[in-house]
Amino acid sequence: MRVTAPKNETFKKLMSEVAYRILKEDDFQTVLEGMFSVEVSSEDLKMRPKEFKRFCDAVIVEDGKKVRKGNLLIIGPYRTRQLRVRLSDEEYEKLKQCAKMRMCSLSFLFRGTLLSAIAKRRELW
Amino acid sequence: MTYYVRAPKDERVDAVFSRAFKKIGEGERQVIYEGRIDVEFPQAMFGFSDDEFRKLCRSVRVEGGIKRRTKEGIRFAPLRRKVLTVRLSEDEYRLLVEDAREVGLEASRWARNLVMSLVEQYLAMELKKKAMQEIRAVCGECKYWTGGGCNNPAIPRQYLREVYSGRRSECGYKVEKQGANPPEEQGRSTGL
Repeated sequence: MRVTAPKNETFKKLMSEVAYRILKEDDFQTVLEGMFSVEVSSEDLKMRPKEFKRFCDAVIVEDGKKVRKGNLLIIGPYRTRQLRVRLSDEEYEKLKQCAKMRMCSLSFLFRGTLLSAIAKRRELW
Repeated sequence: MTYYVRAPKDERVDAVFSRAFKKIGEGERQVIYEGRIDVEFPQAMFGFSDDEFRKLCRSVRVEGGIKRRTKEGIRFAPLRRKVLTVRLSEDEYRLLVEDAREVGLEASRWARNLVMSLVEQYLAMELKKKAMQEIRAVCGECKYWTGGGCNNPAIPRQYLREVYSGRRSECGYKVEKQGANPPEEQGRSTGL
């Protein structure tokens, strides 16, 4: 996934934290490449709402998508693969309990935990 | 999830199965074991010939779980009826498959093992956090508690030991011997 964004040091730093690498950089914009989903808020970038909206509009994502929800920009890859995991009742209940604690869906929790574990294993983060 | 394995009575089988299963019943011809997790026993562990091992695999009955003959031996696992579908990108899927291949497992099995171990860790931590809150609620403002200082049966000993080990009691009374009951007039709460 390739992300082209207006030059911003904080954005660059945030992206590098989730294993994005810089492909190209000039005075106006930065091109980054990575594979994981990222959420950036206006507070992270220390921008006012209008400025943040302009920044989000200027961001271009190739092989992925960007969504702005209020003061949150979500950049993520297209998820075309499906992984089917079989669980016992006990495992399902544990996962459900954990998802309830974190207030998220089962699949979101599963994917997040899986990807962070893989990234840690490979020392990407 | 618990599953039950009925196996023919044999010393060699018992020696192997007892390592991973709990024996819960025994008859003249059969022994019943209780299992909880995925287990695989290689044929070499039993010391059986191919024929003997084949016979054993056929005679073993599993309730609430599955048995499967593998290349190396026999595998037992609990029944997994629920199916969770997770969407992944091509790159994410590639990383998962590479990792799974490294350890010699299928992608979905590797993913389940990885995630469930982390989920169990998280739940155990949450349980511990809750227990610690209960300890604080019971012990009030007493910060320095000795391991043997609190006699409330509701408080698990290991948590006390972890937090208050090696510290002298400053809670208003001193316990002479471990396990001695605190005097009633100290007003120690046993509200749990």
